[in-house]
Amino acid sequence: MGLLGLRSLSVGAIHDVLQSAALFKSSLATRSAPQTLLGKTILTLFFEPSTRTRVSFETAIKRLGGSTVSMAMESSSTKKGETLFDTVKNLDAMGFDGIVVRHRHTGVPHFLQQHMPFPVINAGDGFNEHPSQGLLDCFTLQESLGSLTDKVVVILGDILHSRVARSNIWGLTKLGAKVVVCGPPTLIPVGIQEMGVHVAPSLDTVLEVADAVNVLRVQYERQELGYFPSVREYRAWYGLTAQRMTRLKPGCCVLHPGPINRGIEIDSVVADGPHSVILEQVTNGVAIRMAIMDRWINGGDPNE
Amino acid sequence: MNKVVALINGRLLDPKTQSTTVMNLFFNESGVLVGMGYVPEEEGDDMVVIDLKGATILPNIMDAHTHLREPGGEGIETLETASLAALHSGITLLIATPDTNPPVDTPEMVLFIHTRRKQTAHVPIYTMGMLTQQGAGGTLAERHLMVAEGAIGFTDGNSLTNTALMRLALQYQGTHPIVVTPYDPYLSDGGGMVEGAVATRLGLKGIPSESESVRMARDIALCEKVGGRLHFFPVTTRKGVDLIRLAKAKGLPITCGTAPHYFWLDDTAIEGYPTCMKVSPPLQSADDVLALIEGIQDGTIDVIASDHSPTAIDDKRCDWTSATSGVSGIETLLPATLTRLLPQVGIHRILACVSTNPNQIFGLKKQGIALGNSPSLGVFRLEESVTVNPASFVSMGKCSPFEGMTLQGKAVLTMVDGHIKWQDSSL
Repeated sequence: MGLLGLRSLSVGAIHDVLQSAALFKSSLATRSAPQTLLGKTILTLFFEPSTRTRVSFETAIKRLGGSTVSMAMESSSTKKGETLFDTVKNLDAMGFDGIVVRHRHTGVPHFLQQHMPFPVINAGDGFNEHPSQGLLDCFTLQESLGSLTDKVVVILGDILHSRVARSNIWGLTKLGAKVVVCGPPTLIPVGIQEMGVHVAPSLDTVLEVADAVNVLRVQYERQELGYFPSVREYRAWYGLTAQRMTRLKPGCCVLHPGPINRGIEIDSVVADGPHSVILEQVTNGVAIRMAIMDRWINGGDPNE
Repeated sequence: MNKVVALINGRLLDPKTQSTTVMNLFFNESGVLVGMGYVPEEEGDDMVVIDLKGATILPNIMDAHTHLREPGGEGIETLETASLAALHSGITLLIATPDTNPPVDTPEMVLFIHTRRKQTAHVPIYTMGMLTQQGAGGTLAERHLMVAEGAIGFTDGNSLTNTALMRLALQYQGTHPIVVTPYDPYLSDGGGMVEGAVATRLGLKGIPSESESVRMARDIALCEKVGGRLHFFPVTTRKGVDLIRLAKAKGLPITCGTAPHYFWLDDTAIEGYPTCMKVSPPLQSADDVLALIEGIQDGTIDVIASDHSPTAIDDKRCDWTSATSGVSGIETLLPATLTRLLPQVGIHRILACVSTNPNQIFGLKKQGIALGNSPSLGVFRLEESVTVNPASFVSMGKCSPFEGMTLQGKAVLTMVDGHIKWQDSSL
C-alpha cells in the first residue's frame, strides 16, 4: 500500500515522515544520503504536465540510489484509446518497485493501487490530494514555527479546485493547527467546515492573526468560467499584496506551491520578501520525497 | 403440451382489504385461472401441483424504467438477456427507454422493438418512444403513430432544454405520459456526485441537488398552464418530492418514480471511489434518502423501478471520473425494495409502486389475479435472504451498488399470462 493521501494517514505516521525528512535534509547538505533505494526502479507516470513535482521526486529517488523511468502520458497510448486498466497491466508486467502518479482525475492513484501489487505514490489527483506537497508544507512550517499546535494557517485562493489545499487541510489539522480558508465564495467548496477548518469572511480579517499564509495559484480558466469577474478584482480582494504584507505578524510565513503568478495572487515584494519560505519549500520538497520513498517503497508501512 | 397447473398454499394479497389469504390457484391448459380455493380431491397425471408453502404471490410486477441497449448496444444488454433477468426475478414486464442506437423515434422503430421482443424476449417488453426526432430536442417525434404501434410513453431522457418546445410537447398531449429525468444541464455538467461535504472531502466536483428541482419546477409550471401528463423518473431529492406533493395537491396530472439505490444509498457510499456507485442522477444526501421513503409512504412517489442501466465492464473498471454512470438493477429491484421498505412501508404500498401504479400510469391494462384471467405473477419468499453477487447476474450488466449486501425476498416462480415460465430449483 502506497501513499494515496494525508486524509488516511495517522498523526503518528505524519510525525514519522517529518522526522525522517529532517534526517534526509541534513544528509543532503553533507551529500551523505543513505542509499536505501539501491537497485530499485520507480516509474514516474505523469498524465498531467508537471515540472517541479516530477523533478523533485526523481531527484529524491536518485539521491537514495534508486533509478527512475518516466513516462509523460499525454502523448502515449492512452491517447490511442488504451484503457487506464490496460496501461496499468502492461506497466505492471514490466515489474517496477513503485509508481509515482499524477492525473487530472480524482481517485486515479486509488484505482491503480487496487490493481497494482507495488506501492503507488500519489503526486496529485484531480483536486483531491497532493500528499507530498501537504507534507512538505507541514515540514516547512514546523521548521519556521516549531510545533503547529494552535498556529493559525490561512490557505488563500481557489480552495474548490485545489488538491494542495485539501492535503494541507488534512495534514495541518492533524498536527493541531487552526486552519482558515479564504477566497472568493464561489471557490470555497460546500461543507468545507466539516473538514475542521474555518472560512474567513475576508482576507483582511485574518492578516493580523495569521502565523502562516499558504497562497494558492490563480487558475486563469476559473475566471472564464465565471468564478470571479477579473484578475484585477481578484488581486484587489484576495491578493497578498505589498500593502497587506505590512499587516502580517513579524514571524508569519508565506508559502506558495508554485508556479507563481507574480503580481496576481502574490506581489513580488512578498514572494521575495522576509516572510517568504517559498524556496525552502522547494528544498524541503526533495527531503520530504526522500522520506516518502524510503518509507513507502522500502518495505512499505506496516501500519497502513 | 400444457398441463393443468395448481399453485397451492400461496399467500395472496387483496389490495382492496389490504389483507393476505393463503390460497390455491388452478389454471387450465390455456393458462386461464379457473379455480381459487381448496386443493382438489383427485390429482390426475395431467395436473402439475406446486406447493408454494406460504410464499407470496405478487401479480404483474414490472420494472417500469429500463435501458435495454438493443438495438445498438447488444454487447452490453439485449432484450433477451434483460427479459431473462426479469424472469428469474419474478418480474413479468419491462418498460424500455427509447435511448437505443438508432433511437426509438418512429413507428417503424417501435414495431422493430415489438418484433424483436416477440422473437427473443422471455417476458413482455413495452417501449417508450422518443419525445423528439433522434432525441435531438429539435422537432417533436410522431407520437400518435408510435402509440398506434404500441409505444406507451415518450421521453428524451431529460426534458427539453428549449422551454418553448417543451411547452409545445406538453400542449400536443396524447394519452400517454411524457417521462422526464429532471436535471439542469448546466448545473449537472460533470462530477458524478452530489455537491456537499462528502464531495468536498473526496475532492470531487459536485452537482448541486437543486439541478433536479429547478428543472422540475419549470416543467410543472408548464404542465399546470397547458396540460399534458408528466411522469418524473427518477426523483432523488427532498425538494423534488416536495414539488410533486404540491403538484398532486393541486390535482395536476403529474406522477413520479424513484429507484432503490436512491432510497437506500447516500453520497457517503462514494467513499473510496467505487464506480458501482456512479449513477445519473447521482446519489444524494442522507436527508434526501429519508424524504424519498416518506414520499413512498404517503403516496407522493408512485413508482419504484430499477433504472436498469447496464454498462460494459471496461466502462466501470476505471477511475471514478472516467467511469460511465449506471448500474444493473432488474435483479435487485424487488429484493432491495422489500429489504429496505417492507417494515416501514408495508407490502401493499410496495406492490402499488411496482405493479398497479405503473400499470395505470402507462395504460397497460394488465389483468389481476381473478377468475377468467390469465394473470402474470411472481412468487416470492419474502423472508429468504440472498447475498447479491453481480457476477452471477443473468443480465449482462454485472455492476451493482448492492454488491455483497444480503437482501431479503427471493423469487421462486414466475408465471407469464397464466403459464409457468421459470421456477427455482428449490421449489
